[in-house]
Amino acid sequence: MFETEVRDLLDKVIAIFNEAGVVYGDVRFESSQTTSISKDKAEENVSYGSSEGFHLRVLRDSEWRSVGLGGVGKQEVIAGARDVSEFVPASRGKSSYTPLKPWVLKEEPRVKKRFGDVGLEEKIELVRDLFERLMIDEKIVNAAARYAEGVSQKAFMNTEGSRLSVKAPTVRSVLVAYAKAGKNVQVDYHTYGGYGVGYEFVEGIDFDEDCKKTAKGAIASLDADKVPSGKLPVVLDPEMAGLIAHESFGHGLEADQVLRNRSFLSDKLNEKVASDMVTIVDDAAYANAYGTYAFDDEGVKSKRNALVENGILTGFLHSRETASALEVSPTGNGRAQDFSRKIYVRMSNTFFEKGDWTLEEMLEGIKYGVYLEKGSHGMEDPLGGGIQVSSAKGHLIEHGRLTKLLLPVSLSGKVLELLRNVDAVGKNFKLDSGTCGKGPEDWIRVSSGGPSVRVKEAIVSGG
Amino acid sequence: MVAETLLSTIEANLKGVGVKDYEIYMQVPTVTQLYLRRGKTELLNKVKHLGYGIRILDKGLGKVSSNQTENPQIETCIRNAVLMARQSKPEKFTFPSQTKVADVEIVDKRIKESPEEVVKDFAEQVVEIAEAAKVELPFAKVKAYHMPTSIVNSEGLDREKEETMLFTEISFKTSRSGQLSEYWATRYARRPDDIPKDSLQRWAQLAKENLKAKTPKTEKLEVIFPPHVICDLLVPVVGTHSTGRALKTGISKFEDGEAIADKSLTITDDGLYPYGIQSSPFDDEGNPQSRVSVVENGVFKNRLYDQYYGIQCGEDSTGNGIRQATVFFYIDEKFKLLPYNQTSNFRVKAGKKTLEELISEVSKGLLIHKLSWLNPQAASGLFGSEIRNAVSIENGEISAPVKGGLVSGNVFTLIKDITGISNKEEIASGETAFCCVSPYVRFKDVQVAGD
Repeated sequence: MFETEVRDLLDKVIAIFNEAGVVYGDVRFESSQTTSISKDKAEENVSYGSSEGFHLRVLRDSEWRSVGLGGVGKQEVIAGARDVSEFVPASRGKSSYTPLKPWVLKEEPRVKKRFGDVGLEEKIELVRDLFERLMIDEKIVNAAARYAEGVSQKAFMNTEGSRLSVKAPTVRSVLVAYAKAGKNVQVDYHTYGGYGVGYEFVEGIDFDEDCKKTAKGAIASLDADKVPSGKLPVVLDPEMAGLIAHESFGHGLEADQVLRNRSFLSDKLNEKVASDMVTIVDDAAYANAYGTYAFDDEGVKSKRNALVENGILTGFLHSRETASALEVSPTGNGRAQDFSRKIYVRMSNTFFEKGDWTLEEMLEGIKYGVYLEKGSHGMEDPLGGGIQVSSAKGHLIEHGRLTKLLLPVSLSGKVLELLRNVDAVGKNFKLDSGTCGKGPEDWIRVSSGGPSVRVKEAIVSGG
Repeated sequence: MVAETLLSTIEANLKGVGVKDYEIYMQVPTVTQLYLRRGKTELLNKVKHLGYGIRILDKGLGKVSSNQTENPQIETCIRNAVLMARQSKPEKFTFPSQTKVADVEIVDKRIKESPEEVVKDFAEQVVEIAEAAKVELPFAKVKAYHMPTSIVNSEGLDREKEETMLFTEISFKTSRSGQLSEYWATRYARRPDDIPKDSLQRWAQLAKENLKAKTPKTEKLEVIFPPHVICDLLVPVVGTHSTGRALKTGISKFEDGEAIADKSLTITDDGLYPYGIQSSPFDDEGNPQSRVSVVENGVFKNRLYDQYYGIQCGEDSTGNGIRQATVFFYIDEKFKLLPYNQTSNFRVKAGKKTLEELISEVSKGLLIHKLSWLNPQAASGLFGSEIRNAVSIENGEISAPVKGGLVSGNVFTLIKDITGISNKEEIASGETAFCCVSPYVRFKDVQVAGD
């Protein structure tokens, strides 16, 4: 659908909302075009996807009605607007929603080299080349190289008068290597992701080095040792630190969990929740990170939000609804997977701020511990504050040095206990791109990371 | 009607530009979603979709997906698919032809006809159960899906089906003297009846029982896993290594006739299980779904093939070309995915003892009700997951609630250490694997890590 057509249609929807007397309503249009190329030993997949959809919603007191429409014409969008408009309050003006000042934005991040300026053939050749570079040894029985680029457009209008639009590219790439010796199969991988970047992002990657590292990592894992089980000192690499910041801690700061009475952090605002060394931030405006966006799905401008400053809990993440209910300003964290899904409070780019320790200094003094390397996955526990995160690999720490390579490591315990036990924060920093669910669905792009972080003691086992 | 017209338009466009070999997969789903917050309605959301995936064979395979229905947009999609087919590697491939398929029940009449009523009734039942059990209900969501699907291809294949699905995610919570406890459940089912009232009541009860839970000690124990955990344990690992894809890419650990598990383990991939979550008369390429014996008395028997890997390996498709992913489940947007060689309903054969008998035989162990997220590495089989809701077993009796700490191990080792399988199977859905049919399974020497 052309930009002018979309604008006219969104105007009509807002006019229907206003005519019906809704207290608050908004409408969002999304469109995307993606190209994906992947190759492994058996298959080469080259695919294109396009999608368009509308999300319309109306508030009455504290209850919403919404419709998500995909693959439909303008008349069905108008009908959808009329349908949800029937959900109006008995008396006008009654709403739990704090009004916001309307604003206008039309944004398209400037890139050096548009994806469209590079031919499909060149990108297919890149993926084939990456695959070959991963297959460097006879022990590598399979490898996978994946590249995906996309351009997404979003337009938003609400009954307060905000009129926003953004068109931005995203890119993501993944390298995977499978090593096999007898019945022993191990895997290693590397991921990349960026928002608001062009093909110059891809050209800036040292793929040669990363392919070697990935393949060698898988081969090395064939001889990796089992992980010791129990409570031990641990050092987290930036990806693992990011998983803790996001999964174990950040989800408890999503204020919809506070409204649900389901956050272990509900009553901890302005309290000491971590060691003085800990500062944790969620920054949706972080330049070119994978979880970045211009405005959230409720039309609130993205920004940097400090969650913990020097160990003190300084704020929660909010949608407009949670901010209204808790009488604070929205933080720009109301996000939906797409037009068909509900808007929840979600994170963006979540990380520990840097400290001033080197890794060598952090390892010093640990007689026997575990270094967790490369974040694999994690799951939130917003009510209990428990930890479930796993690394793709690890190292044993013996007498202040990294020694034996370990198989994947899982980490458990209570996150507040872990954060209070942080006694060193590194001066390195890295963000890792990923995908986050609210529970088992509603996937959005995010990043997480930070520096290396040392923890006096945590429960570890194989993972 | 909309789908028929659109299918004809796409087919005419394909033929118009000289495409000879093609497949069109189309879904026209509706989704009705109800969200509760603290027992009150937060949102009612209705979704109307339409989407299609096209595969074109022109030396190589080109693939597109879209929900755009105007002719210029369809033309763009087809142009892209042709370009991609011609630039990707040449393939030895043919689309499936029309063959007979079995009947299988996959539609719930009420979801199809009155989805709003279904989600409201289900939510009301959840509220009543929370009230009766005197537990809090921080949130609940209920989604009802109705999905008409069509597949046509250039080999004359022309399939249609309707299917329904219900999804629920619920948090039951209790608190006492500053202690908090939760049972956080998620389930998919074809029908509301497959998430029966007594399951919901049990979840509410588990939230209460976990209030005084303690972290386990670090030791090796006998552990009983429930069906939904078995789903996440077996499907991503044993399922993956049982495919033609794993064989062709060299990562499969299994050889035909190899003893891979304890003799008590028998697994059938049952694509025709009544109301199974991935049951269907035909897979997402149009091939008939079937029942394949994968593991028989611990011995690996047969592989699962889709059309692509069937041709690559010189075998017939077993109807295991499915548009589904691990972890990121697709229900109403399957048209966005490509068919992938994977399990349908992995079905673990039930044993002879009751769950109570399995418990009574354990001198020291754990009965797991819920893990945080069991997400094993498919290639290596390694796993580690936090315990969310469990009970310890001492001398054959349930002893005390357990929360925190980890269970870890390797699935390939674990399946050799099965010590018991319960006598009642159920349709289950996991959080890594979409579905299976399984009873409770007991394993020895499982590593538990805690205090």
